[in-house]
Amino acid sequence: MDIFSHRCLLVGNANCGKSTLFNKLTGLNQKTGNFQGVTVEKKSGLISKDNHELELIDLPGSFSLYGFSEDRILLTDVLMNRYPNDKIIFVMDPLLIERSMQFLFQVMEIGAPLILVLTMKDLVQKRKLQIDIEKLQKELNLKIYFIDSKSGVGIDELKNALFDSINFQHGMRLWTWDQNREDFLVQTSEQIASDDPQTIQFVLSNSFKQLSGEKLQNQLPGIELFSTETKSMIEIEFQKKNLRYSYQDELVYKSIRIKQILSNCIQIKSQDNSSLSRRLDKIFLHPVLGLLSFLLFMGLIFQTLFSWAELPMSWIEDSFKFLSILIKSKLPEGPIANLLADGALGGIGSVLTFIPQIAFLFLFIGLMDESGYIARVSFVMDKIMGKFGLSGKSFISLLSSAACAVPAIMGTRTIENKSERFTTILISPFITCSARYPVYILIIGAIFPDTEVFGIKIQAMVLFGLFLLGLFTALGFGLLFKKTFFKKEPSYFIIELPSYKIPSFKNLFLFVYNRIQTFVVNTGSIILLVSIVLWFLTNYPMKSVVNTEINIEKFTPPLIEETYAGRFGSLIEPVIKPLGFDWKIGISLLTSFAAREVMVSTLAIIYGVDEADNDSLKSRMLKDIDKQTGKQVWTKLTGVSLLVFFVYACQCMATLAIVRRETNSYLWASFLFVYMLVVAYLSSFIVYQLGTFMGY
Amino acid sequence: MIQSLSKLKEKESGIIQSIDQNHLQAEHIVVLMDHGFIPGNKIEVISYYLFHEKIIVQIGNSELAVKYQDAKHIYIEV
Repeated sequence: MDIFSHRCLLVGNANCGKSTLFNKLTGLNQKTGNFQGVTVEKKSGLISKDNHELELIDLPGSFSLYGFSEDRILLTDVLMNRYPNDKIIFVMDPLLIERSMQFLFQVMEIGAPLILVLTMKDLVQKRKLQIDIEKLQKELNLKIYFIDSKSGVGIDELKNALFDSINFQHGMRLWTWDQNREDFLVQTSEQIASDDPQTIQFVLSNSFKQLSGEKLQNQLPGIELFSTETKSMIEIEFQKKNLRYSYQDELVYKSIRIKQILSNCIQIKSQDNSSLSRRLDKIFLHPVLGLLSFLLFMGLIFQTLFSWAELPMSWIEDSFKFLSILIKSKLPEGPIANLLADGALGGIGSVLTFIPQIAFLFLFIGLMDESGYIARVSFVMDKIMGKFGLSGKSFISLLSSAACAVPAIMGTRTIENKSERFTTILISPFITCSARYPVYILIIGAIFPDTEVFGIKIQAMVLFGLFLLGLFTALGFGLLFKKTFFKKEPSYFIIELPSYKIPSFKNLFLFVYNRIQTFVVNTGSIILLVSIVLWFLTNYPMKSVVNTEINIEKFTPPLIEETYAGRFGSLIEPVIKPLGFDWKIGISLLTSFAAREVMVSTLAIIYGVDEADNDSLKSRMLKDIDKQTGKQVWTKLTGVSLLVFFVYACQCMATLAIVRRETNSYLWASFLFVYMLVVAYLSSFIVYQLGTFMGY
Repeated sequence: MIQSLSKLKEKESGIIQSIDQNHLQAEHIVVLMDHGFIPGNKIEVISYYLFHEKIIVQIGNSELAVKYQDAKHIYIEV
């Protein structure tokens, strides 16, 4: 027995049970990240046996190595540049065996050592599908393990098998072209000296496709791998034969062979066409009922994110406030205590406060995905969202953004098309999130009267108007990005509607756990760092006060206008004056970058009132007079200008941190910040200047 | 008889003959074929959606939704 401890690559179609198998084999011993240089998620985990360890890598689900989507390129790259000892575990849903075998045949041709795992054993038995595993093993020349990932049947046997290389067979080509093309392929391969005729045929097949005018990924080996003389020989012989090789024809010939194999190995005892899935789809895919049921479900998610998450979020906030007070009471008064209590704890607290919303949102996304409902969502919302360059699944992220953009942007991982995903990421922050409401309520309350028109409060109408402004701007920019940045990205509508399944709660737990872990570890560190920097800017430089009686110098916190943040506010005042803002608003804009609602507490500090006392704060704001002009600072126009600025500006470091992570690019995060700032500035400028011109 | 997929009624089935390369992009055809739209495969129309905007079909054990406009260029032998 050859014991080894290297890597196994999990490969298979999407929705074949690969992730369930991965979770079952690795348990909590897994981590999630991105493959280097791309936004494709990489899940890796460890399997242990008798002091040996094996790294299991879950590669993106795919139908083929051909095509130019980011996942397929990544998948092909990993398989073609695999480590010498890498093994492949090909996972297949036996209910979709005919389609899966197309991909299996492709993977077999690359010649890597391979094991085949059939999942969904329970469903196969329910559907009365009979698979002759022995015959199938013989036909494919592969060892096959038939498992039920959910219950664990067959998992132990598979786990043991992974540690013995004898169980892995080198894949080979099991299909042929038509006579002419097959003969030419074989004859040409015989003219090329090699120890590995199988690999030569694989590369030649790709070369003939290239010579036939097909474009292949750079990651697939083709004619460029051969020496100049061999390449020349191939080209000359190919031209003489006047044959054409295409991926489409390849699929047809593979299909013929697959049908032959399956006719020997698979029997369907009975076919159930009026399945539960079909009956549920009569509701969920109905043009009216489907949309209604989806909106109801979204309402539930909305309610959860807004209300039910509120309680655990406030527990976390209160806990950190308590810890902050405790630290200050235990440590000697000074910068260390302040840094720990306000800077560090404040930063950590602001990160952990997101966890309930992330957990709830991903619980719902996981439920929709595991059950098969998410495909129906895509189907129902596709037409509406497609008009704005978005996927049907974008609706989930846009709606979730109304609670918080951070988990919403994380949720865009469900969107397969890269341009649709990026567009959703870039426009989600325009949706009015819950963090904006404290600011809106303060300013609207200060400048708009508490009266009604036709039974509706003016203040409520303004609030709703701001929400609509953000929404329509988001959709407008979606359309703009579709026509500009992502113009050339093709998007084809074809959705597989998988059977409905009862979600696996273990999978759900691991899914939510991984998302939280990824957020806290990867994004949390950036948020914490920025929190500390902002704390420093709003608390320094300290004022030196000398007690002449006892000759002791003491450092006290300065007034906010004397801090670095205050100096920043004064510095940018000339730039923000055309928007109707003064230095006080400038400071608040800086501090609200930590979290939008911090603007309220900053204004409270500036105006010397308790943060919770909104009425006093409003009163002080309205009484504030500009010393230079003698005019009121907080006019209605200034308030509206600031509201418009807040609708558009990306005043949230957590959002930027998560965008950086999800796009794997500082450039996209920077672009998001800058373009939203430009839109905010210009909009605010137009509102204020036009308003001033019109005499407001 | 060969006709386009879009002309099949609900519960009608046939064998996929070809996909029109003149009207659909090569990459789109590859995506369709990867999902099972391969000549020789049996296909059944399950239902139409939203005034024939989309069509849901079954190929093997997969249920797939495609646009009606694309279904016009997929040919079936009934």
